Order: sequence, then C-alpha cells, then structure tokens
Amino acid sequence: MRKPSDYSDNRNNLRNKIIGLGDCSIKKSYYTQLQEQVENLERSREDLIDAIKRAEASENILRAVFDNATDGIVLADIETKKFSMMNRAMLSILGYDEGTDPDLSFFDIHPEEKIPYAMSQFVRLAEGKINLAREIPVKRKDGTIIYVDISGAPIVINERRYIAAIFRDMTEHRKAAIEKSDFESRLHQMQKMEAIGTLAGGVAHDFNNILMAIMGFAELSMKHVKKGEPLHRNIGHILESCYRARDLVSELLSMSYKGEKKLEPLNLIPVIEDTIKLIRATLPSTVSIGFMNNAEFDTVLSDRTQISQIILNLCTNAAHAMPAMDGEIKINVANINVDAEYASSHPDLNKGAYFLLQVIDDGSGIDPSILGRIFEPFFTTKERGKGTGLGLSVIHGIVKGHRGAIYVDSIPGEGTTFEIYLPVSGAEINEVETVKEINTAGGETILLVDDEEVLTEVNANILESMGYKVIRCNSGADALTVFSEDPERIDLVVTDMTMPGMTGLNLSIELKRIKTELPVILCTGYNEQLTKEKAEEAGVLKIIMKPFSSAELGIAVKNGLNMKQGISH
Amino acid sequence: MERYNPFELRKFVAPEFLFGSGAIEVIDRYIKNLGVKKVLVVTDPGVIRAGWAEIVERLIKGTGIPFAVFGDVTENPKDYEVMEGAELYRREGCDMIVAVGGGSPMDCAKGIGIVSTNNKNVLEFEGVDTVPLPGPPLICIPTTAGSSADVSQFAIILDSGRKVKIASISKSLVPDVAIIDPITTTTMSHELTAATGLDALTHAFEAYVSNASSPVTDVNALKAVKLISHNLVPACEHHHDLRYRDRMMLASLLAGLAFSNASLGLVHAMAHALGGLLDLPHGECNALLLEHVVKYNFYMAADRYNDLAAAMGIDVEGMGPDRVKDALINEISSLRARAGLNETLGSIGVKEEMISELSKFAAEDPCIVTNPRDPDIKDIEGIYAKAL
Repeated sequence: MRKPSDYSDNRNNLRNKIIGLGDCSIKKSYYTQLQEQVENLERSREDLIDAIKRAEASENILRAVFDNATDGIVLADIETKKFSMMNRAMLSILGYDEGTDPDLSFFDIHPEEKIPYAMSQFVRLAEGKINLAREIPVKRKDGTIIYVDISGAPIVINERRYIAAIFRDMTEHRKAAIEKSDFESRLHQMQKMEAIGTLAGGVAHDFNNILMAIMGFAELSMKHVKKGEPLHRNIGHILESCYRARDLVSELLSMSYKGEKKLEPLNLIPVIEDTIKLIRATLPSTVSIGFMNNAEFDTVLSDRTQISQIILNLCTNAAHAMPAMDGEIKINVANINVDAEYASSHPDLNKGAYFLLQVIDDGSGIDPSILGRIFEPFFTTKERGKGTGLGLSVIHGIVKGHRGAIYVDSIPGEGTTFEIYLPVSGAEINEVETVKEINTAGGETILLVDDEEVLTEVNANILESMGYKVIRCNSGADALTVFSEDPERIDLVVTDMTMPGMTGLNLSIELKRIKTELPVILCTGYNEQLTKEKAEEAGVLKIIMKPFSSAELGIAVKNGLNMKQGISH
Repeated sequence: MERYNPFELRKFVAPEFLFGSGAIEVIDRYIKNLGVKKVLVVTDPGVIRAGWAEIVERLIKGTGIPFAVFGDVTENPKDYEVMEGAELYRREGCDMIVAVGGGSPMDCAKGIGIVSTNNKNVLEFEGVDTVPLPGPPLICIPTTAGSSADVSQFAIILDSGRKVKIASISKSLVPDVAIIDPITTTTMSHELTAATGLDALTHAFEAYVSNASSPVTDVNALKAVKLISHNLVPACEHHHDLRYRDRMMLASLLAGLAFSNASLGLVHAMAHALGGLLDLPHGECNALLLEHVVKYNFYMAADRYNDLAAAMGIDVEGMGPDRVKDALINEISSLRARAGLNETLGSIGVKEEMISELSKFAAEDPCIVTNPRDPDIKDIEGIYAKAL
C-alpha cells in the first residue's frame, strides 16, 4: 500500500476522473447540436408561419385585384393551349357564370374559321414578338361573337410556359368606331357629291350651249350630204357623240339630285331592250344576260333615262357580285295585279296594276346582316373609290319617284333577286313627241333670241331650213325692241333662258304683256332657278332642254304654232 | 496500490465500431445518415500516398455531400495544426469530421472538433474532463493497427511552444463511429507495422497493470497481448497477408478499448515527453521503453505481469516472480528484436543531458496516475538512463 501524500492524492484524483462519470465532459450525444437544430427548426417554423401569413395576405390582395379586375385575366398554357386560371371578368367575357370553372382551351373560345388567325396571334404573343393582339374574334358560351383586345407576355411558372393574357371586350368600342368611320365616310361622300353637283351645275349651262352648237351645225351639214357618203357617216358619229355627252351631263346632274325629270307615258319594253343591248356591250362575254317578257301592258309614267339607269345599275352590281365576273343575269318582266290583300302586306304598293321588273343574278349574294342597309345612300361593299355607294339609293329614289316599290331577296352563295314594281299607266303615249323628220313650215316668222351668237346662227339656220322666217336677236332688250316695233309680224318666240340683262323668263313676261297669245318656247341648258311653275307663270308654252336636236326644236315650234292657231281659230 | 474495487462506480466508453475487411466501403452510409451539410476530411500525406484518403473522398463524393480536405497533419500533431484545421472547418462551413489515418490525424481531428464547438485554443483542453461541449460528429478510419485513437477518449497534441505533448482525456473525445478495416493496414511498412504493433502491446500491458484496470478491460488487454505476441512478426514479414493484419487490427482494437477505460502508465508518460521534446515516433518510443518500465514496475504488480507473461506464451507454471520477470522482459525484448526494432533511445537521438527535462515532463503527464508504481523524478530519470 502506498503512503498517502499530496502528490499521490493528486494522482489518485486524476485516476478517478479518468474512470469516473465525466462530470464536465459527457460522452458526446449531439445534444448541443440537436438543441441548436431544434432551435433552428423552431425559428424556421416561426419564419415559415410568418412567411405563410405574408403569402396569404399577399395572395388575398392579388386575389382581390385578380377577381375584381374589369378585364379578363387568364393563364394560357403555351404547349397545351389550356386555360389554367380565369378571373371573374374572364368568365363574364366568355359568357360563363361566376364561380364555375369551365375546362377551356384556346380552341374553345375562337370561332372555328378564325382559329388560324387567332393561332398566329397566339404564337406571336407566346414568342414575345407582340404584346397586344387587337380585335380578336371570340366565341362566347352562347355562340355570340365578340371582339377582344388581348395583351399578354410569355412567362414561366414551375418550368411550364404560359401566356399571362388580359382580355378586354372591344365589341362596343369597335361598333362605335365603325359607325364613326361610316359616318365620316358618308359625310365625305356627301361633300364629294355636293362638289360634283356644284361643278356639274356650273358647267352644264355652258357645256350644253357648246353641244347645242355642235349638234345644230352637224345636223345642218348632214342635210347637204347624201346618205351613204363617208362624210354623212362622219357627221352621224359627231351627233352620236353629242348625244352621249348630253346624257353624261344629264347623269351628272341627276346623280347630284340637281336635275329635274319629267315623267311621261312610256313603253318600257323597247327601253329595256335598248338598255340590255348597251349592257351587253359593256360587260364581259362571261356574263350572260337573258330577257323574258311576260308583260302585256308596259306603259308606265316614267323617264327613259332613269329606267335605263335602274337596269344598268342593277346589272352592273349583279356582274360585280359574280366570282370572276362569270355567271348569268336574268331580266324578267310581267304584269302583276296587286289586290288589297297583297297591298296590305306590301306597304309600298297600292291596289292596282303593276309592271314588274325582275333582275336575278347567280352571284355571291348579299350578307343578311347588311341586306337592310343596301338602299342607304353611300352604303357600299366595294372598295373605296370603286363605287360611290349611290347606285341603289338612286334606284330607290327613282322607283319612289315613279310611285313604285323595290324589293330585294338574297341567299348568300346562291344569288340575289331585285323586284321593281312600277304602276301601269292608262295614259296614251304622246305620239307627237315621237321623233321624226318634220317639214311643215308655212312661212311663219319666228323671233330667235340667244346671247350666244353661234347658237342664234345654228338654230336660225335649222328653222330657216324648215321653211320659217327667222329674226335673230342677241339680247332680251333687243328682242323686246324688235317685237314692239311690229308685234303682229312675229308668230312665235324661241328664247334662251340665261342671258345677261334680261332673262328669257322676264322677256316672256314682257312679250306676253304686248301679245297675250304669243307662244314662247324657252330653251335652257341648265338653270337651278327655273321651275315648271315659274315658267308657266311667265306664260312659257314649252321648255326644251339644251342641247336639243333639230327635230326636237322643229316639233316644239310646230306644236307652238298649232296651239296658236288652235287658240286663234 | 489500488486494485479493482467491485463497489466502485465507474463508466466505460466506446464508440460504435465496425470491424472487418471492407468496412471502409460503408463510410458513405454513415455520412448520409448523419444528414450533414459539409464534411471535413482530416488526413496526412502518408495516408494520401497510400490511397486511403482518395477512396474515402470518392465515397463521400458519391453521397453528393460536399467536403473539404485537411491533409497536412504531421506526426505528433501540433497545436497550430489543430487550429489551422479548425479554421478550415469554420471557413468551409463543415459540420462533421472524418479522420483517415493513424493516431496523428485522428487526434488532430478530435482537437479540431472540440476547438470548433468550444471556440478555445486546443491547449486549453489539457488534462482530464476538461471539454465542456462535445465536438461535431466524428468518424475515424484507422489505417494503422496501434494507436486506437479511433476508440479512445485520449487526444495527444504537441504544445509547440513548450515542446511538450499534452494529453486531453475526456469522454467527449470518444469518436462517434470507428470504421475499422484491416485492409487499410496492408499498406504499412515493416517498420511502421512493428512500431504500431508494439504501441498496441504497450497499451494492453499498461491497461492491464493500471491501477484503474477492471474485469471489463482486463479481458481485452490479455486477448490483445496474446494476438500481438503471435501475429506481430508474421504481420511484419507478410505485409499483405490479411490473416495477420486482421488479428493485429483486432489486437489494437481490444488494447484500445482496454486502455481507453483503464488508462495507461509510465511508459506513455515517458514516451509523451520524448515525442514532445524530440518529436520522436510515439510507437517506437513505447517499444523502447516498455521492458524498462516493466522491470521498474514488476513487483508492484507481479501477479498482473504474471498473467501478461502467460498471455505472451511464457509457461509461468511453477515459476517464481523473479523468473517470470526475467522471462517477460526477455520476451518483450525478443519480440521487439524479431519485429526489427533494434534501436535504443540513445541511438534515436536522446542525450543524457535531456533526461532531467524529459523526466519532469513525464512526471506531469496524466498517464502516470494509473501506473501501478508511483514514481518520482529520480525513478523516471533512472529508467530513461537505462533505456539510452
């Protein structure tokens, strides 16, 4: 046994520590590490709870914004094209109830025929090449079509690619814009027509005077040339050209509603046949035109030019509606007796006999949505500049002016039928008006007044060639003086309307004061102020429109003289 | 002298340990199961050259868990090396340590661990039961059959300022897992096999004669002595014969379990002094000192030495203590010689004038407290002198 000592006590103490429990240094148990990890976990848990609360708050805000946005919001999967999130506005735009979650994809919300276009815009949005696709047609749940602006950008969520898209319903906006643009274009057209009218009215008078001179001299010259000679033919061509020029002026005036048309009893069949000939010459040979006449009575109080205009216009429209201008136009005429029952269902028609003109084509037809608008002035489906949009409205106006009615029936892809009802007239055809060579002068003296010397010259020559004596004056004042000198010498006065100093109308008034029974024929190129009533008040017997042919002048003078004789006898 | 007291309350420590050829291959499972963020691998250039560090690194890589390597540990690990390793551990954001190698990297790894958790210099843990916070998870993979640092509560660090090895003995220093794979010892040289084998023998001897020995430790110590006596020389001669390597590794493990719980004695106290002052290889120092300390201690624990002699294969039947003593000392000396260790302290550089200082340090070493005979400075000086 060892002696106890401080030294050995110390060693003994150390020995006991080695084999002892290890009061200071426990065998490791990871306790501290665990404790730290537990603390970390606890902190993490608290952080997580905080984060969840923040995320929930943030989600609530985002959800509120998302749900209450007035535009539709949707996530469109770029690969599958499926819609994975839709807000309330989106459901409403697409016509679904709030709270429903329809399983929709790109293919469900666009009209089938518009899918290729919509897809091209989808791809461009997905590629980030555009961020706004305008006025994309969208098919709602109930099948109605709306137009939306889609703005969006490609995003990646959980490794999937989406378009975050915002839909804005632009249907109303689009309608308003179209209407505005419609109105603007109509206003523009109206201003254009107004300008054309003013221009036409301005030139009509002078132009007609010029035509008058050419026509008159041509006709005079023709009398000196034998039929069959080349010169005779040439003069004939000059006259034809003049008539065409006259018609052109007349059309310009009527288009701008400046012209005044007088309805006369007219056989329409020859007018229609003449017009068909003209149309055949102007349309390509691929358009065939058939005419079927089932009308016994074709006398209608009408204007030849306007009837031609109706047929010409309808046929031109029909030809334009044919793909590649290839097809058939049928023109049918018949008599229809409108009875009370029929009239009650057709407010535009009255009981009585009607002349029915049908123009039927087998073209592309008219879309039902615009069928009601085709008679509106300036409405056109043709490109800007290709049509005035006046054609059908002028026809409508003409038909109305003839106290008739016009109806249209059209099936898209099959064709269109226009039906024009014109009341049959019981009046007899004014045979006097028939154009024929007249040479019945008995040496009567005619006072011819026109400020245009060339016109006095040509018309004097015409009348002289018919066997009349002609006194020429170049102003109203001169004419009044000449007439006053010897009123009995003068049997009839032909005066121009528009002259410096005294107008033809005033001259007529003055002359009639001197000689009440004096027949006065008033010639006018075009005058806005001149009305039939005014002319009658001034004692004018007849108005003839410049440029007139020698025959027209001859008939007017002959009738005037006959009337005078009738009165005097 | 105090002997085993059946009524004494005491604690025995040992890590979870895997033993067997191929054990090294499961390191990745342990790392994965620990669920760590980054691993610090502590090793030394010799182990790296032998290829064991690379194998461990490959296995860690397979887990997908990142790691850093501290591979500059020297023999008799220095305090500053521990601090460098701890700095690397902190900088890399590691949260566990794998030590691969002999006693040096393993002790260094233990130091790095406790420095990291306690934020103190490693020298502050000198002594017994001085580590307040355990280190991070530590897995040790021994590649020598001798140090047993992989199972022990000992860490020996060289105080480079004082040139003295300090011992830190603490339950906290017991590694968490020891992965003991005999194959890793096949790359040891003859000399290293001999020195580490005799280190293990010393552990077993000192644990068995320790005044803190116990039946639990005795069994391991005696078995270790038997295994070493029979297998050390063949292991030295047949490097790649796994039978001998396996037995030597087992001997080292058993000796380790014994000394970790029964502690050591004068041989280690004196060897630590040599390592501290002269940076001499620890195993070799033990080998050269053992027979001298046995001679000094013998009569204070003759019956214990009798058992050890029998374990070494000496037929002690009918022998008196004197004969046993001589036979035992001869056998130790003979085994050392047969293993190829024929040096003396003098021949490896110890000078007579160093003995006084060496003895002072040895007297202060905590290992001395369980030596069966309580030596004073003079005693220690005498033993050093004999071993020169």
